[in-house]
Amino acid sequence: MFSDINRMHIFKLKSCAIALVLITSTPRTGLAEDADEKPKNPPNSVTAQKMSPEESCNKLYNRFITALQDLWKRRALELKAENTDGYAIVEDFTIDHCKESDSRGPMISMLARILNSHSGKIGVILPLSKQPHLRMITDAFDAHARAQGLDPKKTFIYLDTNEKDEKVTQALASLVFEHRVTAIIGGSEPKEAEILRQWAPKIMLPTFILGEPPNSPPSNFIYYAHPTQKALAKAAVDANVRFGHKKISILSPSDQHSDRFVTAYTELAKAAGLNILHHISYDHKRFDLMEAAAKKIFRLDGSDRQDELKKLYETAKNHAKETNTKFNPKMVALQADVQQDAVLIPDTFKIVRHFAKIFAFLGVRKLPLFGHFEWRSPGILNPWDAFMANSYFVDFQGPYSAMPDAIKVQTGDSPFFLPNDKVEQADFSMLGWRASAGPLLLAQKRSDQRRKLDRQIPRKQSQPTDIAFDSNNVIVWPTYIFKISGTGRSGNISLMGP
Amino acid sequence: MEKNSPFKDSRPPMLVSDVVKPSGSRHWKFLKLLLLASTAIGVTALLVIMAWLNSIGVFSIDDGQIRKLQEFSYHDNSIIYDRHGAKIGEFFEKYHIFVPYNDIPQHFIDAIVAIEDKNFFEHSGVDFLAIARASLSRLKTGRFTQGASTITQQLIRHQYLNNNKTIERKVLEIALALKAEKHLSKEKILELYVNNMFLGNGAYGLGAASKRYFAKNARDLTLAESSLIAGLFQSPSRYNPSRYPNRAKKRQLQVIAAMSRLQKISIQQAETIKKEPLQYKPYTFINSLMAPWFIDYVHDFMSRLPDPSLKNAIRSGLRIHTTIDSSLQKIAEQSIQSHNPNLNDLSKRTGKVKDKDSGKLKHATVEASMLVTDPKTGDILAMVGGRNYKTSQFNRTVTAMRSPGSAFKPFVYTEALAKGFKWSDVILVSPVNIENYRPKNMKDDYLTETTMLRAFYRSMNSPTIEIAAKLGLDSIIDRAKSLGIRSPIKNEFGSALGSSDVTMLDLARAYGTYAAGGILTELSPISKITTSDGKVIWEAQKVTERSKRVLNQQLSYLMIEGMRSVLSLGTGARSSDLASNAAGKTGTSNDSADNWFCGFTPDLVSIVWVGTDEHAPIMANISGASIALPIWDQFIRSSQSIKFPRPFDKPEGIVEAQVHPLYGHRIDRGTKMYFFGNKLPEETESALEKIENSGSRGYRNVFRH
Repeated sequence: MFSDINRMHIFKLKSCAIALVLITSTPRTGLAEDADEKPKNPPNSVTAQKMSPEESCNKLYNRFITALQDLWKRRALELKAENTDGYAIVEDFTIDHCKESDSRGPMISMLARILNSHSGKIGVILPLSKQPHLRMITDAFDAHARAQGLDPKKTFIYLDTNEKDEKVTQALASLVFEHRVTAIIGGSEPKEAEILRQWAPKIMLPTFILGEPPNSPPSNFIYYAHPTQKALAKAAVDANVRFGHKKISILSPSDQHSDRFVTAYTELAKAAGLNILHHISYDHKRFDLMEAAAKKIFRLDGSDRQDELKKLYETAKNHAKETNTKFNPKMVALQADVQQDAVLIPDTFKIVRHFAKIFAFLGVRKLPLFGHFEWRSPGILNPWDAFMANSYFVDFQGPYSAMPDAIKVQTGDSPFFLPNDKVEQADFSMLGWRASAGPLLLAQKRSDQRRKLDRQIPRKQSQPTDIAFDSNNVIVWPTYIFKISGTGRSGNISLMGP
Repeated sequence: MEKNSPFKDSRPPMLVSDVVKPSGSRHWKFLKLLLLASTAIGVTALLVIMAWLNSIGVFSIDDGQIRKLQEFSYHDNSIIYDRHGAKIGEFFEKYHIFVPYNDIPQHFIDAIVAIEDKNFFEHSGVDFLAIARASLSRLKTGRFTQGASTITQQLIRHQYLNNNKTIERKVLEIALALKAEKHLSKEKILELYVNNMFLGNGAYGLGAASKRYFAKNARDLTLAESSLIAGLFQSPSRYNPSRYPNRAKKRQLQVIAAMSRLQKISIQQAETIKKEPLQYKPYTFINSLMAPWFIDYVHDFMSRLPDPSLKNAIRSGLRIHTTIDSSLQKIAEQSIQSHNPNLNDLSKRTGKVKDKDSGKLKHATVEASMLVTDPKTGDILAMVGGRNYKTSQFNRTVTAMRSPGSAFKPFVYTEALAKGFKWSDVILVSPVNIENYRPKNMKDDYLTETTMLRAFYRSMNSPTIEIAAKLGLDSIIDRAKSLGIRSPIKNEFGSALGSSDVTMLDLARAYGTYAAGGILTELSPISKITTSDGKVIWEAQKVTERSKRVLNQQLSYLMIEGMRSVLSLGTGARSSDLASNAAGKTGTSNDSADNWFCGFTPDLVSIVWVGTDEHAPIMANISGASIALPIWDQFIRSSQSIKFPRPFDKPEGIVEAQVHPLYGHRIDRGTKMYFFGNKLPEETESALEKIENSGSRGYRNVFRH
């Protein structure tokens, strides 16, 4: 520790001048403002300039130094101070360093180095050992780097969390103090995302979360690289409008896996003037409950059509008598009352296909169904069921043939389908490709101060394949509508456009 | 004499009229008139009698009639043989074995004469003394208490007349008897009599009775046996030893006593027989011993042959060589009989039907039947038409029209494979509604997926109907017909699940087509028919002439493998160890009214049915698999000593692969499925399995964060 401190003193002398500049001249207080979630005042504002150097230092100390000290404390034991290029000195600073300009300068200077400089490397914090499928994402990172002429090994630093919270922080400490990364990608698990979200503004490190945004205010340093259910729901509503389907019934699985989508869809549909007639959930492991849900939306559950059923029964009985045929009560059934234009079923193609059969069994001859990416499989067509004709679904993946060459997966006869063992790879690759686009862009901006890298994030998307983030720092991921059609014994899908 | 004559000296000899003439002319006139009247009456009476005799045919008896009696030809029985030449039955109008006079034992002649007509060798056809005695008795008692008919009269009555006790018949009988005696020797008359009279148990004549009652030839009869048979001539039913042994013994002793009176036997002999218990062989008709339903079927089959000379098999003295295999027939019967306890138990759980006799409601009786054929030749090897021929002669293998249930499904799947479907094709199992027809699956296995093979071997209804709907009913019906179903098939989707009634013959033909690699061969119960001296007068068509290829070998093999899966993995899995050399399909109709197992090896087709004749439900949660299959299983296992098991021949152009039974893609340890050479399923994991394996993560979960 003593040697660390000596080394730190030498470093102090070297950086003294720079530190003074940071505090007294050039963006003296930029650090303080940038520390807020959103800059309330522009850099070099009057408010900032009104502060005394000590006050400003105190603020910086409270906002950043304490955070960095905390992060350093949470590092892994393997991370030694000598491997931090002097950054470890941060643990020696106290609020008292702000009192004297001699001590204040080195501290501020060190802070500036930590927050501004970056190595052009991208830190990746994922539970790689626990979730091997994440390798498909990291492979896409590497592919993306190579596609941009970068050496993936020199660009990405992969650290495994083993699904342990403390490992996330340890990894972050290592990436900040040891590797001085440009940006972080991580947060595939909600808890890990939350940890990264907490650290990112404190250390002004652009962080790309592989998950959906929570209901919290956006930050300049937090980006959401994962496509959102809201975007997909928007595409579904657009499709409804496009096909003229105004009255909608929703059948959703009770295991909540589609709740986000359904919630978003319901809000957007209502906003678009669509009429949601039913929203019934079912247990997709129980046929009887699925059948009951289907009966409900077609008014076949017998609750309000008893008289009609009795009449049908009598008519059939009389007919049998008149024609001298055997009366079979099993043949008497209410006709389905199809009031909806389409039924949303945000579940797997398997469940959708079973629903289609249940609908047909209940006497529904034609009714468009619609859903989302879980429908995307040759299984939605094979074996072909004519009931599926005119149904449609929305997806985040366009034609597989349009995937970037570096991650392109060989398609079969159809550009819209992949062999089943390649589907997951294609999805993860696309996520990896898109999620790494932002960080790779920043990594190539080494001359820019790290804390200002957010200004480099593209905000406008000119093509579906371009990377862009919206005002909430959520990636603008293109969506696609696919329509199902078929004749005879085979069906097919066609892309209706993004 | 002359001295005492009152007229000798006074008058010349007179006419009769003179004698009766009164002394006065008035008297004479009266007498004359009386004489004339009497003469007229007598002549008239004579004329009337003559006319009456003429009217009843006494004067029209000619020599030809008697010759006809003499030339009476005996109908030889037609004998039925099994495929190995063993006698299994007979057809006859009268069961008869001719015994020439010289072969009739003397003690039998003595016995029959003693008891029936002790003066036979003395009278001239009619025993007038006996008639007088009988008439006197009649006058005394007002009824016939004594018989007066001679053996000749009895023969005449049996051959020409009826048993009505009228004067006319009696007079004619006497006239004919007198005439017969003039033309025939006593020995001939006795021979005719002994060979023609009905003696009970279906036997006509001494030869047949010897066989029936003692299982021996007439010439080998003992005195006691002869006396028993002789006693039967008066009333075979009254003295039937099987039914009335006491009466029979009594009658036997009457015969012995009569013989003793005539000194035909010694007192000692008579006493010996008196002390002996009655001995005879209980009679069981041969036709009911081995294959009674089959013999009925053979008779029916012959009556439908185009050659008119074969229609009357009963009287033809034919030798009918059938296809039945007595060993397999026994095994088939035992296979059913050994399940009697179970079948009896089920009979307590059937729907109730009206009893024909009492009119009361009772549980319908569970019946069972089995038909076994050789798929390559079409030979019927065994036929068990029911559980007990004595209680029910109804032949369920031939006549019963029953719903085959799922045993019809192979025809649907054959058509599917022919139309390009594969065993690995995936079907989503959900309820189906086709034209308001909504069949249910046996088990509630909806919301699952299955390959076509699994749907077949588990006998799932909704996938089958779905396939049927894609194929179209017409093509399925045509396919079933081409395979050998001759019963009409209803043009409704229920037929795809076996709602149209068929016979066991239909199913044996059709399943035999699979077993024979796609060749349909018409079934035949008879290989040839010959005369008694061996001349072939009818022969079944050669196998090649009554066979035709209706499926290509490869398609047939795919179905064989499908039906092997039924045994190895499906509804027939309780007999899974038989699957290496056997295949088949279960079938159960609504309410378990019909329960089938239709199975085959390369050499045998065996169709088993269990149900009630009244189509009553069996309320015991049973199926073809639980009740018909065990019978089939026992038969096939037992028959393996006769038909050594061997695998089915696999033709060229068939490939096999291990396939996921639910999702239809190839996997290392899947279900073995067979395909046409160029139609192997995909190697990659199916999307459905992907969903199954994704578990809680879900399908394409990456986009659902």
